[in-house]
Amino acid sequence: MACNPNFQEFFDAYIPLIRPMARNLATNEDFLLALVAFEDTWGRDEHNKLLHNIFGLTKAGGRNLHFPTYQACIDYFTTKYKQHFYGVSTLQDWIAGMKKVPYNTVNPVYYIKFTNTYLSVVKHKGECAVK
Amino acid sequence: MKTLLLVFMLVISAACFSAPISNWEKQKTSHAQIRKGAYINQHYGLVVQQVPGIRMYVDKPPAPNHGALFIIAEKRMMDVFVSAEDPDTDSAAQVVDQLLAVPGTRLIGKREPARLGNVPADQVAYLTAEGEPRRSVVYFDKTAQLSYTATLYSDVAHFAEDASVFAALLQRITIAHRD
Repeated sequence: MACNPNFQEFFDAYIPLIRPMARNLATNEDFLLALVAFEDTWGRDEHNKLLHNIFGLTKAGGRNLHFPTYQACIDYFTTKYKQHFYGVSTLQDWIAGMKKVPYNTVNPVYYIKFTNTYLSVVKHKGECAVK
Repeated sequence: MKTLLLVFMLVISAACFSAPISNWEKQKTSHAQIRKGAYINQHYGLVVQQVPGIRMYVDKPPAPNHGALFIIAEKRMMDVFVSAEDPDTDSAAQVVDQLLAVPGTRLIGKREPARLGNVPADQVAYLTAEGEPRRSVVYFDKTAQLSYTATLYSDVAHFAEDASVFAALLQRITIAHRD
């Protein structure tokens, strides 16, 4: 299938940010891209854009955390949660890491939906010939 | 003074009608917190009023805020969940297809139009691979590329009984525009 421009736009915007982060965490960039796609609605979340919060992290009171830049958000995530994700090479272990943060406990299908998003990232990276 | 006494009696009555928290519920909600009154999610434009006699839980920070969980009894619960969908998703029917695509899932009856609070939605009932009955009501917002899903997680013995509690939850949901 042809590359959907919405996916191309997402990969163009986020791969330059996520690829170095994945290298620092010695993990597969597709797990991180899936997390951004899921929590930032494939880059369409205008509210998260203002907050530079691409991972959907919250603070007390349930409000999303605010970062001055995307890089600040990436540095925060990398420093705070490195122990859960460093060297992870399988989706199963990545989800286990998310559960240790913990990412979501109240919605039983959250991780099923996350898995679908990961599969979509892999499929559309192929269709968009992302290198 | 009479008003104060009345308020005090109402608070005590509400506390008395809530079931005690089981060990299963404590474990299930160990990373969540009880929310009373209403769940308000400005980010996704979602409000859910508490169902009387049912405890409502939300995730604690740093977890992203995607919805709420409602415990009916041990292993019987409901949730309201907001989720991002792929840019090529176009309808609630496609979101329902994903629910039914989980291996071992079997549709019960047929898909029906329904309402999720103030918006039109698709309803589906199904059995999981483990034979547990579920009912989901899905609304899809194409502009925001988000799905809003309420699901009843029950067992065969209590499914009809829990369906009336689920119907009460559906009436207490309001979906507004995102902030």
